[in-house]
Amino acid sequence: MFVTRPNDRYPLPRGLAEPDADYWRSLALATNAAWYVLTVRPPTEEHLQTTMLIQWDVDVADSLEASPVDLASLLCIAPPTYNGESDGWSSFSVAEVWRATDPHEDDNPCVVFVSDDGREHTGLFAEAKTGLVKTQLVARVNPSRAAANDAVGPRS
Amino acid sequence: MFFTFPSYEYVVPIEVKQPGEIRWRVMDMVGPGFFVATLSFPGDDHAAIRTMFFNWDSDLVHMIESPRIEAVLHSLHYVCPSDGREKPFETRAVRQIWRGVDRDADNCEVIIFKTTTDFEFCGQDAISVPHSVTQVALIATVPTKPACV
Repeated sequence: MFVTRPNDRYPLPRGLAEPDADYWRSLALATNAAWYVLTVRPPTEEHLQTTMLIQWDVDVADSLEASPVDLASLLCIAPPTYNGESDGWSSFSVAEVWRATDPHEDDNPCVVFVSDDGREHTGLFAEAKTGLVKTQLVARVNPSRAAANDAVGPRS
Repeated sequence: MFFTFPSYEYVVPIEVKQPGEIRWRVMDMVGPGFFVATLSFPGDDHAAIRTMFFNWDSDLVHMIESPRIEAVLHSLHYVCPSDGREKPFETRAVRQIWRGVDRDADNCEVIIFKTTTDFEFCGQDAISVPHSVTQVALIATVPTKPACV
């Protein structure tokens, strides 16, 4: 989860603020789990785009299914592995989002993120996994405008 | 800038959070990008590296330089989401932070970021460093490791 504290608040004048919105200059992560940066294009003539930071994979899928938006880009930031290979966050660009079931976990429903290199990731830590049964495509990044992420090495 | 609406809140029992703290499932953002830093603080357990997000470079530097906080910076990235059209998603791994002055702007302070790919940018908008900016002092060197954000 994302965490804000009183000192993080940005005092935007009421006339400029959205009703009921709170504005923040900084925040922290409370959980050592994967999180997502989602950019969508609502179907408007203005071609405005919206970027959200989302903590849970199910919220990513629910957000994409809730309204007819064009998925511009989706980046998954995964936590350190703590296995001696990396003590920093790693990331991968997502090409597709699927609803799926996991045969290794009693066929529990899950959300699968297919990365640009074709690998499938799921779970709290967005680990690469095989054998998942994809049941429904939630969204696919628009291929002509796919995200790129040159500065961060591929996740091992 | 990050912003939230009441429906974004993740409600947890008051016993498990600090006074004034609010937890969120979702954060909206506006602006060109944001900084993601991993930090630790004196007294933290070795494995307790914290991840923090900053809108403004000045807030980040204030955190790093504060003698009260004594934060140790472990990694720093600038994350620049896609504009939804031509500009792709981009992350920049920072290896050094410098303080500079801009002689064309009354010598105002400028924060300069040098990336692992030897690119330099400054400010929250991550613009290229103007020729009128002179580096003055190194603020921090960031340990850079492979495959980290």
